[in-house]
Amino acid sequence: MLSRLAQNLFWAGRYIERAESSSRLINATSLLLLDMPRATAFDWRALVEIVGAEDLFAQRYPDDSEGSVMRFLVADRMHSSSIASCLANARENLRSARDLVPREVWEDINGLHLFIADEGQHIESRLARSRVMDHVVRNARHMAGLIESGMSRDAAYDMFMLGLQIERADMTTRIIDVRSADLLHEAASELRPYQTVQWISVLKSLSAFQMYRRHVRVRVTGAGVIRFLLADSAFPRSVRFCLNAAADHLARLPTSSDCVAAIDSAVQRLDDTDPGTLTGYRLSEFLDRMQIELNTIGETIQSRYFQQ
Amino acid sequence: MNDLWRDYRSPGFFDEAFDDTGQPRHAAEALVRYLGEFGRDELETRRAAADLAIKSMGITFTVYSDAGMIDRAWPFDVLPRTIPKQEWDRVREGLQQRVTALNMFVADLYADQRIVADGVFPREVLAQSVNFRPECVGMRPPGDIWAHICGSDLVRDGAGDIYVLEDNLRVPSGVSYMVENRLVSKRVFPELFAQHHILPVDDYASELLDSLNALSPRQDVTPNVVVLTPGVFNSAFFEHVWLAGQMGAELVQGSDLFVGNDDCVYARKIDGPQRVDVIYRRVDDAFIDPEVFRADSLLGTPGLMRAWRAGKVAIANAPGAGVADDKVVYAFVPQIIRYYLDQDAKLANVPSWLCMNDSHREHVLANLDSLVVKPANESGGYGMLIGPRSSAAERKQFADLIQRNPRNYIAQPTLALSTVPTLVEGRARPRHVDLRPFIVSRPNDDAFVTMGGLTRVALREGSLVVNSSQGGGSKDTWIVADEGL
Repeated sequence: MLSRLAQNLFWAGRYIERAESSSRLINATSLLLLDMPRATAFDWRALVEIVGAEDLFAQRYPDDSEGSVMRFLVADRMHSSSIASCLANARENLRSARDLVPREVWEDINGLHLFIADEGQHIESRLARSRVMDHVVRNARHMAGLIESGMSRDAAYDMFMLGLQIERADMTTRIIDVRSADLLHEAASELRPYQTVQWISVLKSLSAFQMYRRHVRVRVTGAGVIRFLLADSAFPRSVRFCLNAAADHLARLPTSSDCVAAIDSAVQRLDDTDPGTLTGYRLSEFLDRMQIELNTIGETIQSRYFQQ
Repeated sequence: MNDLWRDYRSPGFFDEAFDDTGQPRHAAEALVRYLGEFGRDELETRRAAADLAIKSMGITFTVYSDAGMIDRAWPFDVLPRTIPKQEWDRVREGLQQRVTALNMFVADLYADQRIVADGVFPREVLAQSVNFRPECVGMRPPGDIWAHICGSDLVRDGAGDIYVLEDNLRVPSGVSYMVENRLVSKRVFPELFAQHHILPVDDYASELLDSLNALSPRQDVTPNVVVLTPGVFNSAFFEHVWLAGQMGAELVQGSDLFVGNDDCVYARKIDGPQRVDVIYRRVDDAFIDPEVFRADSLLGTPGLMRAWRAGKVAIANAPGAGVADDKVVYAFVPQIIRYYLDQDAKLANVPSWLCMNDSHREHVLANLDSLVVKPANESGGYGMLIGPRSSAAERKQFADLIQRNPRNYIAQPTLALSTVPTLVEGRARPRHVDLRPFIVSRPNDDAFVTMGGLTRVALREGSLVVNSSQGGGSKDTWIVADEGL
């Protein structure tokens, strides 16, 4: 397979997953607000921090109101990680590689790209926004399903899934990083009674609440959530699960030993430390290291397969 | 019964399905009879089936608009065009003769230029050719073949005689639509294929692959053939994908290839560099190598010409082949055929006046209102003048252009292009057509000619514009053998 097409598929996987996880995050956060005391001024900037675009946001928007943050995260094409940009980028990557994926995937991404360009402008009301976000999530799942059930297990499939898994691990790490900082900081404040609902919201933004309940079987606590989302070996959005899955895809690709080694190093960190025992700066330091590991994995894949 | 053929007439033009008395021509008889017996709804059902087939088969072409690029469904008219096989056999011989001579001409221009030395082809025309590439002088591609793939546009005039309108020797496109049109009409009229002896067109990709394989510099291994595309924004990208898919070749862009220190060309693959033996390029030669040609080209691969000149890779069409793709050269094709093959041209040129020639120029300037004036090559940026539809100011402008640069212009009579019945709101209506067959030249064998070609039809009444981007459509083209009728 040509390196260029491998790169196209890898990034298509990443962008589709990024659009989906941003949509989940926005919906879960909007729902959380319904449970919070009315007087609380919710800090929407947390969502901007999760995507790591604080500076760009500050340049482009006069305030950090809900409306501004939502425009920035959903529809702003000047923001490269907005949902609209992710879908446009996924589409451009799939354009060259469209013959390598089932035809309906190309139709889906076209439809979704047009949908967000239009509907992304009408997200002021939370009801409309939730409908739009749901649509993105459903379609992203539809594409993933078409790929899962319709693609031969070849290099094209492995490259797409590799991008998707790396992105998923990345997003999970970012969400824990930002939300845990807020929540742990607020431990002493008047919001303390609301901590549990907030941790539940973290789980929900990763569609993890139900599985957490079934498998952890204790009340929702910060430590339990952090451990589950980082180190659980059975939940498909946990960082460990995503890394293992990425390693499986790499194992089928040619001469992947450097990339597999980079993944092993990240998994080793999860083996060495129980993240549930970490709090405060030690947790955030651990998460920073995981981010660096994930970046290294991305760079190793880049130089091994895409830049020869 | 339906109204399909009721009152069908094409006054003033040669109609390919019906003669002047309104009787179907021999090759079209069975088709006309069969479709005429369809129920009203049945015809519409078949037309809708064709639309659906085109959508579901994903046959598209790309157009540009303010909103960016869009893929449009390929415009297809369900009524096939019929051409008798006996007539086609003569056309095929004519095309083989023409392309053989053109290849000899290109080879001569990059070698000894005998045709110039012998005074048959004017030195000053060669000097003005923008598609002559001095970088190719002295090169001898396998079998001395330069234009491996040629698409020649054919038209019929009012008397029904076939003429060559132009030869496309650079990167002719359309062949994918020829094959796909046949697949659509087989889906829509399967029973007609049982009744007619219609010659198949689907072998093009295999013929092309064989011909490309034969060019490989490495005859001891299975050649690695790639199709080089400018990328997804090219209007013919559908065809590039199609060709690569049909031949089982990799579709590459310039940046996917690199030239090693050994002068060999390699493709960047995830399992390491892979040597490339033959490149079927769909990129104009001005863009294929920024080291040699346009330095600003992002479509090419630095060093490609070096690899080609070293004989480490074959390129089809060969760089420089476009020198014969020029309106002034076109006018000389009958002399070119006579010079190299000592034969008369079997296929006629449209009569052409060369403005560089004093007496021709006087004729052109005196008759601008009835002639079509064409620049020698499109890169001049000037359009054509269609005399009968021009304003006095436009004629004045062209008269000035011709006098300033006579070598850059030729003129031809306005042709009364033939018509073919085309479905318009449930009725057959005469619409003008042209035909582009494809000719694949190969070392040590006669050139392969497609069975028919791509018929393009001007869908608007009276229009002569067949381009798909400007309201043109296409038809399946049937070469019909006599026995089945």
